Amino acid sequence: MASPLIGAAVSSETAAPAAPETRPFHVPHPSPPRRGGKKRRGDGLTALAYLWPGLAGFVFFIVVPLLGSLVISLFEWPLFGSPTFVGFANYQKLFSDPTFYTVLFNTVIFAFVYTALNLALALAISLWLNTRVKFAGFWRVIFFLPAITPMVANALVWRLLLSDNGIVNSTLASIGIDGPSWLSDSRFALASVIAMSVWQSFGYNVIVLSAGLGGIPKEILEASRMDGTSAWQRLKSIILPMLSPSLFFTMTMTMIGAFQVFVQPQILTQGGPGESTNTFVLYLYRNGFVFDRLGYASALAWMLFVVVMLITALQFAGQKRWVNYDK
Amino acid sequence: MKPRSTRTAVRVGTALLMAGALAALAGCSGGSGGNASGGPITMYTWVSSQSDRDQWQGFIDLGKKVDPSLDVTIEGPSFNDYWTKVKTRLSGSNPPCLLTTQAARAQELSGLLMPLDDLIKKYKLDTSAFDSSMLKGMTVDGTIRAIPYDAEPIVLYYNKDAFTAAGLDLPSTTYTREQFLADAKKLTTADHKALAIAPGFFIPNAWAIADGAEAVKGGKLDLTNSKLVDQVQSYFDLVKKDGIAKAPEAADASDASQAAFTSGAVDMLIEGPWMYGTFADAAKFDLGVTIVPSTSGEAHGMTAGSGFGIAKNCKDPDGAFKAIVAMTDSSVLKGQAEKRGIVPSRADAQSAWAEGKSPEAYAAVQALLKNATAQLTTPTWNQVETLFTQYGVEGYRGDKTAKDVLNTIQNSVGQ
Repeated sequence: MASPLIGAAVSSETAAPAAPETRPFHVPHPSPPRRGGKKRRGDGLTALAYLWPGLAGFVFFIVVPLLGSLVISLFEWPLFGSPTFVGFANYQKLFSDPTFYTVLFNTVIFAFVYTALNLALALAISLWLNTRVKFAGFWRVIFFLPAITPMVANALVWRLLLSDNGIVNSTLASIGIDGPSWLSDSRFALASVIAMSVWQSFGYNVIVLSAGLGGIPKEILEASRMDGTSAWQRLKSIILPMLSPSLFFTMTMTMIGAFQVFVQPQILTQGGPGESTNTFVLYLYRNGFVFDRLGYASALAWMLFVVVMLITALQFAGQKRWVNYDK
Repeated sequence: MKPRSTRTAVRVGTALLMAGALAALAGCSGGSGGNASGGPITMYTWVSSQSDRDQWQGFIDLGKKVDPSLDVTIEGPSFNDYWTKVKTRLSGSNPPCLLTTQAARAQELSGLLMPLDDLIKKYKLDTSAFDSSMLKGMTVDGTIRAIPYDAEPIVLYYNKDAFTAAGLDLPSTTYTREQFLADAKKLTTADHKALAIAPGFFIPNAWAIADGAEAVKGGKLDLTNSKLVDQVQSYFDLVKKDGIAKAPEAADASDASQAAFTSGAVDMLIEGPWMYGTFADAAKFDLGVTIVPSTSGEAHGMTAGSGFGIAKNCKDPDGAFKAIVAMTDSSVLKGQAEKRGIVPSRADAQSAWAEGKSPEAYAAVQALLKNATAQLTTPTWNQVETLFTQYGVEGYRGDKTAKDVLNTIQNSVGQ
């Protein structure tokens, strides 16, 4: 079953570098179209010849599975046996399924809180690394390490940390605090999953934002210093506006990734206690491959696709207000 | 040919060649698999480790002594992946003929497994020689879907040394809930619990069946019957009310509770008899085995076990059934009981399980098998297990009652 999200990720990736007109001087403008409209057929064939392996991969591994999952969502489709056409029954069932709303709510909460915390932490660390801190490269590597470590391994380590008798509660006990059940108490479980997820992935955004900060011309900052601005004024009026394209890119990609959260609740809490950490993709996966309901899982996948597309579209629409592409 | 068109042709040719070479490189892995018609019979089963492979090979090697023409090859993924992959494997080309299933999964795999009743009649297999509860567990819609090779009643393991040190009498083949709780409370201290609990419905179900409560009635899920609700509540109470066990976490694997028991962190654990050898090797104390306690104190076992079935799309069901007959022969099951520690599904082979084990362990297993109920399930049992793992945590912590938890699951599964 293909997740339509693959398409979402691709489209946003291609859309994300909505870069300003920054063509270097030595790059010539493209040639104007030839007069008389005569087409160069030879180039087209050459392009097609170079393109076909990638195009074939895109068609067979992205487009066909996408359409396949749309078709499957119209059937009651077991892993083994004959599928039965049910029309839009899977979509109707979805709207009367209370767990659907619960996992949607959990996922939205996760996505917004996780993205906000992730960006705030990544921005703070990037700003710190951009000062004349010693061993900045070393720290950057340290912060990036969790992002390149397998998610499952990280989640298992966090499970040991956060279990009832884990290191966190043992440390709290040593100073006289009776720690809660981080993973078994519904008041703390989702927060624990978010904390682990932020730790795992903020390092990637640190790299992107550090690169963005590095791209801010030193002369502008220098000039503002000479004008007597405070650090806060420089951050608010120069750094953040000039960093906004990078912030927009990290926000969009982090949000899309957040809606696909799966491994963290699967390893840390199994979606429990109750449904408190059950997320959209975990529910989708279980329906498809544990409960043997591929049709319903495909309908869920398409709903997730729609939700992510809407939120990404809103982000793109909103960027006009705060993203500044002027250099 | 003009120079321009020659250049174009060369460029197109080069591009096609390079792209073709890349595609060929990318696709050069893999090959055909499967068996030729008339060749060995493929058995698709779970092979999580070399130990699993050795177990299946043991059935084949011992089966060859019964039927020298037996020719079976083993293929399969890990245990956890098996239940999904078996469905896709049968949908693919050259599907396997022999499958294995647990009794608890027979309902779930009923769409894959061929009814065996006609073959049983044709080859005059005496099913009365097999444990009746296991045969019931392997029966779907009135037809037998697999021949069981083991019949393992869930038992209570205990630490004999801890019991003796606490001045407690060792339990025998009768054990009341009252006595169990009294013993457990005496073994429990501020930083030591008597019992280990794993998440999931498997053990609470065995606890409920010990007192005659069942989760499936007439093939339908019946989680909200008052008898079952009371039993599950009494199991939840072991944590919050009685304080003899720690609440499990939803993501705990069963090996967490097993490790707690064998390390001496707890003194008792409810598990299957297939763990006897592992526990005896790992524990640094004298291992005791008794029945799962019941109100009356009498033994009432929940049997779990697995068996061999035939895929619905098997082209040689006769050959596959002959292989099953050979691999479930009494001599084979005796050999596997001695070598692998399975409790054989054939009554006449069960004495072989006693080999190398304490007499009271064998007595407990015998007592439970005399009054045994299979772990009956429904096709949606995976949902029940998954949801109980999620919601059970709240039950143990006292945040929700058994009634709330079981009502939620019954409504979610919708049967």
